[in-house]
Amino acid sequence: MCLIDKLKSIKSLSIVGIEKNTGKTETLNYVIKLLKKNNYDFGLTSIGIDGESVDQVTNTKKPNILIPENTYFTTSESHFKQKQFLAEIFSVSEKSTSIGRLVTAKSLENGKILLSGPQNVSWLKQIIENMLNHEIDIVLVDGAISRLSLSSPNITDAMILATGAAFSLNMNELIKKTKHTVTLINLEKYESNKLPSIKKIKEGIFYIDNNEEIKKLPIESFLHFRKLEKNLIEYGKTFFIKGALTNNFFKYINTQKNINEIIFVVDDYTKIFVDTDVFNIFLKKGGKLKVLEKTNLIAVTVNPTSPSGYSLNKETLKESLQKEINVPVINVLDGDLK
Amino acid sequence: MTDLMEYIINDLECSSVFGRKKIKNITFLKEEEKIQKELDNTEIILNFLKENPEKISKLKEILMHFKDIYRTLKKTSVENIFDDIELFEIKHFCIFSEKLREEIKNELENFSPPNLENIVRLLDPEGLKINSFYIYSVYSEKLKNIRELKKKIKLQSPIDETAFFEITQIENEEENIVRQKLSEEIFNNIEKLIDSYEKIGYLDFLISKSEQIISNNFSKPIIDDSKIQIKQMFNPEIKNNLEKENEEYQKIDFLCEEGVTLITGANMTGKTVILKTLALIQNMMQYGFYVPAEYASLPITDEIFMLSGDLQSIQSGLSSFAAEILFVNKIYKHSKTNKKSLILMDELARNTNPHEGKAIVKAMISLLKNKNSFSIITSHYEGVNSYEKNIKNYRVKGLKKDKTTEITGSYKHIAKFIDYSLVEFKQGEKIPEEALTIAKILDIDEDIIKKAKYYLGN
Repeated sequence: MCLIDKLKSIKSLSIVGIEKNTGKTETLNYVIKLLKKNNYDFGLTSIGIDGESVDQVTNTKKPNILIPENTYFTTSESHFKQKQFLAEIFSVSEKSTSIGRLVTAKSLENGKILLSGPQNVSWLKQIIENMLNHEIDIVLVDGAISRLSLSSPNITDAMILATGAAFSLNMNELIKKTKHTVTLINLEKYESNKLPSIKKIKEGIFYIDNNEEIKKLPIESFLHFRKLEKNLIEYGKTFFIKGALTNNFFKYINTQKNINEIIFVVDDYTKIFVDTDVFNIFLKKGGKLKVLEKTNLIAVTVNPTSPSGYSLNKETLKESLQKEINVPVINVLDGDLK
Repeated sequence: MTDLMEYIINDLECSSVFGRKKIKNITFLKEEEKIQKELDNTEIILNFLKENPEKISKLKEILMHFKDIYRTLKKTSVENIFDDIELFEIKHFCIFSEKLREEIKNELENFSPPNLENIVRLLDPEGLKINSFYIYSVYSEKLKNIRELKKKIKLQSPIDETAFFEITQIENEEENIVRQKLSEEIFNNIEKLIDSYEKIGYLDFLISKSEQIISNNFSKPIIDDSKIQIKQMFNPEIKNNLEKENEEYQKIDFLCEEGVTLITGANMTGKTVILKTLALIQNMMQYGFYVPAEYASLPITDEIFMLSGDLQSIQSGLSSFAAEILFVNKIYKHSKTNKKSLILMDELARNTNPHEGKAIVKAMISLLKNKNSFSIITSHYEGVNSYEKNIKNYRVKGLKKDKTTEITGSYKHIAKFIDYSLVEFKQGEKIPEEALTIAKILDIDEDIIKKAKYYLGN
């Protein structure tokens, strides 16, 4: 299925970089061109003030998103004022981000813009809602790097992950890390009739005991796991962890007996911070990790060119990566839009 | 603003940011003319909404759209040029101000924002009636030509970057000239805009007051400097809390004149509530609000003093008695200025021994009886009453005698056994001793009650 077909059924899409400088902007511009070619009406905004472009505040970064004519966008006051194209203002927020209020406008000619956006989830959801009221088909959200919690799956309907040569010039390393992230994003969703009560839990570690009851583990986080008197399996077979899962957690779990009988459940993939090797041992031992909210990852984009000009063999990169993951891989520098 | 007004203020639901600002800035009024005007204005809006209930949601819907443009208007001076965002905000404001005016200009002319059609036209030169803004090409023939040229340059492939950069510069300059003209025009109308801003806030405030009056059954007080006469007064906060638990609130009548009014009664018979409600009603009237009563005739006071058990004495390191007596001193000094005030003293001298406490109460009654203030003192000390001119004696009716047999550990329903109304306390009457009966209702250990009765017998 082509990317454009996948975009038909979704109302919001975030574009997230696997690390800094991985061609997120190129991906966004690629999706914009693709939508434009297919006559989609779309809106554009961003998550907060991108970590990659903190220097935007000092105005050293140039506007980089190519916005076509008649496109709605939301950005901060100060970025709005830097634009060099005509735009019709439709609303100004009451709340302010650290670089000013958010302006929603429609471009009256094409041009380049710096995107910035709401700094919290509920505000971003509201901005997306407001944009959809302007009778547009889809809202694109210029996301942060993949691990920032603002790219949590419950904000947009779908996500595209951007990776590229800028991230690592060693192709094997690049493929290995990308595959790892995709594995985490594609973790299976946990299903149970207990979901409503599980989702209400705000913090701590919980488990389902042998009587099918939800109980709290007597430690606040797995950082304190040594305080546990029993083996995990003696408490129960399903554990819910609110908050982050670190390398240390997996190292601890990997020492436990019978972990192949236990299911660990975490909010979503952005809460998992684990190295590839440690995670692979966990998987090899039969460990099961699921998420409460699953991200709908519809494509991975690769940009074989690094900012320094060095370029990986684009065909090899795309094909090698495609062999490793079951999500469509797109080369954003391909002239071919589909 | 006093704490007592907090409940009333928090209960107001303004729809606009201007209304909310207006609430923050209300003041205690001391001039009859101002209070009367505020009450009359409230009445006009109240009656309008009662007659046109369908307008409430319409007006509120419009009011909700306003954003605070105070800072934008404030920064204006001739040298200041508004940027596009500010021009958008002003346009947005004017469009909704006009919508509001359309709704009320005939019936509520005095409350309607001024006509801002000219600014709407200025910022909507093409008459598109869309709530959006940019520097339209119709503003200047030159701008129109520049933009057409820019379009042509953009269409070239590859784009001539130098030409594009230059034309963008020229466009910016011309846009700035337009902005300057627009800003000057707006500045010429700045007073109208500020007037609109204030009218909208005031209207919103009056609408929220009216809604509060309707939902709480408040009434318009009458100003009469000779007496405090209230029929069926109630404390809305307590009443609403009781009603949530399906309990009934007993409304009571109150009448007093200048001088001293003494209210006696057992514990838990609502003396404190009476004083707090009187303070609230007096405050509300002087903030220009309707009051929680069926009828209220009230004097205008210079100040309201409320002495109650919850004086913040501990924070300032004073003993509770010291804090109390210092406050009493302040009250007395003020009463000597002959300014009319409302003085409410709950259980005066409660914090010291009964012997001296009683003497202090008597002293205050004697000192305040000839002042032109309204002093209302509650006490359960025996023998502080005095039956002279300028002194009125009340007692709370208290426990319903016929029901005392039913009483058993029903602390939650104590209200059922008490008649909170006030009756004239006649000379020679004794304060009913009901402390132990009340204690029994509160399910106090039998030992305590027995022992107390034993000592009472001695």
